[in-house]
Amino acid sequence: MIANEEQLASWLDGAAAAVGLEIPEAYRKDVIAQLELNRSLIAPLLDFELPTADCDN
Amino acid sequence: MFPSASEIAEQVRKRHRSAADVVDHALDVIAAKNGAINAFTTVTADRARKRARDIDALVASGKDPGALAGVPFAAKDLFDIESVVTLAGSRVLAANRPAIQDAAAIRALEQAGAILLGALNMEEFAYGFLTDNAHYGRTRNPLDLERTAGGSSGGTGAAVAAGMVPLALGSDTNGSIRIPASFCGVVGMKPTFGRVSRAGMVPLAPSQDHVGWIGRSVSDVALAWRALGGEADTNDDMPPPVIGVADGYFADRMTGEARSAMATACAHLTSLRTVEIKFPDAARAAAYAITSSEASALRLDDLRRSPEQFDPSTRYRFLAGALLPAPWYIKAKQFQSWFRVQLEKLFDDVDLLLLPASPFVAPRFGEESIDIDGKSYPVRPTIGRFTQPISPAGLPIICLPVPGVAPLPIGVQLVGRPNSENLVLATALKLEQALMAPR
Repeated sequence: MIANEEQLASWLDGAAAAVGLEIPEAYRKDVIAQLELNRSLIAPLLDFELPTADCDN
Repeated sequence: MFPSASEIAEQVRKRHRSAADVVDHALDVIAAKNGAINAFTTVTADRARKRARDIDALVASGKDPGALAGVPFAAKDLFDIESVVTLAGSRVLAANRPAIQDAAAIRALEQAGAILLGALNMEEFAYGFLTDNAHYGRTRNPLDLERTAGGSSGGTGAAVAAGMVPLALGSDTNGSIRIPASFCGVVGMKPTFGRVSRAGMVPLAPSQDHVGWIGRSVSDVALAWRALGGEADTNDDMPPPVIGVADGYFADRMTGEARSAMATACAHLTSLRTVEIKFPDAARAAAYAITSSEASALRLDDLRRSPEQFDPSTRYRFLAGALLPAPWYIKAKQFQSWFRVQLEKLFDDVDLLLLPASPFVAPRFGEESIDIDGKSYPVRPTIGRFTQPISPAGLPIICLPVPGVAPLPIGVQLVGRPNSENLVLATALKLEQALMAPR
């Protein structure tokens, strides 16, 4: 989803700042690994075309 | 081992045994076993003894303390207990003030005569299936101390399986009652979403959090259900329910033990029909996204202040969850609404669903992968394969053990339409009786 490490680092800092978080240097590698895992675990939902019926209950 | 909750209550109400004696026995068992198992994080012995004296005085005066008279129970350490700090398995909350009153679920059980014995170990903030807690230690499976009791309500499952208490409260967001029940060979129940009050319970993901409980038998979890607000059973003469057995995803990627548990349960049920639960992978992904986003949002201040205080096994999930894009969460919530309707439509053709609970028996601590049909799968993300996809729908579910299929316990799930707890319980009771009958 994000092409290279520089872009990823920039996105991470921006996303964290938006919610008032600072990701300590010691945690960055693990947080990035978790972000990538999250993307793969949530992929079946993102790829799913949600029907318009039955969504308003 | 304890008699059942209903037997204890009967003995206490008829003055065949005092509540004080029941409590002393339970405290002795906890003292003898908790060192090895680590199910309890706090034992409220003084409170329990005082409460037992009150129950005995009530019985002596001719009054009925309730259906759970003198029954000892414990609560996962995310339920408030008056005068105790609610830790939720975390150091983050350790500096909080003690709770000023008991959680609603604890109050409800005590109003029915039960006696609280303490708080039970869990995954940090109920986020995980192993109860291998960096702060408060791992909870060991009483049937094999080298293996996990499951999670996140690991202390709940272990305390009941070890005979420390006959009944214990926990919570279930993605399977946190059902996995410990399956791994520990005990009966777990979660009701329809919203049926039992969560007041005084530290949340993980409010869109999916349920109060749940574990007992040694279906009749014991039924007693707890009625004490927690469920209606009395009136379906004695009902015809056998039509049971939908899900194929596809729910018949795939499980060990021979889990397959045997399903086959054995099916062999003891009539009126079976194959059904398909569509889009399980998307459902599981939605449950994951909802949990991740809501859990992190609730802990955002703690993550800003002191991320180092989190258990390393949950810290990165909390931090990454706080960065989950809003459109993903919104799509997960839309999917939850849609999927709930699709699951409810299945109940036009069947009364209940029968699903596997865990894909394998309790893994050993440190076991990273498991072999299924010649392929290797990572343990941690595979545990919730059968519990997590249906969690967003908020349906009532009982997980009960299928004895005799493996050296270690393994369970199956009986799932009902919303507010069909009594049908789920009545069917689980009949299945339990059939499974226990000598062959």
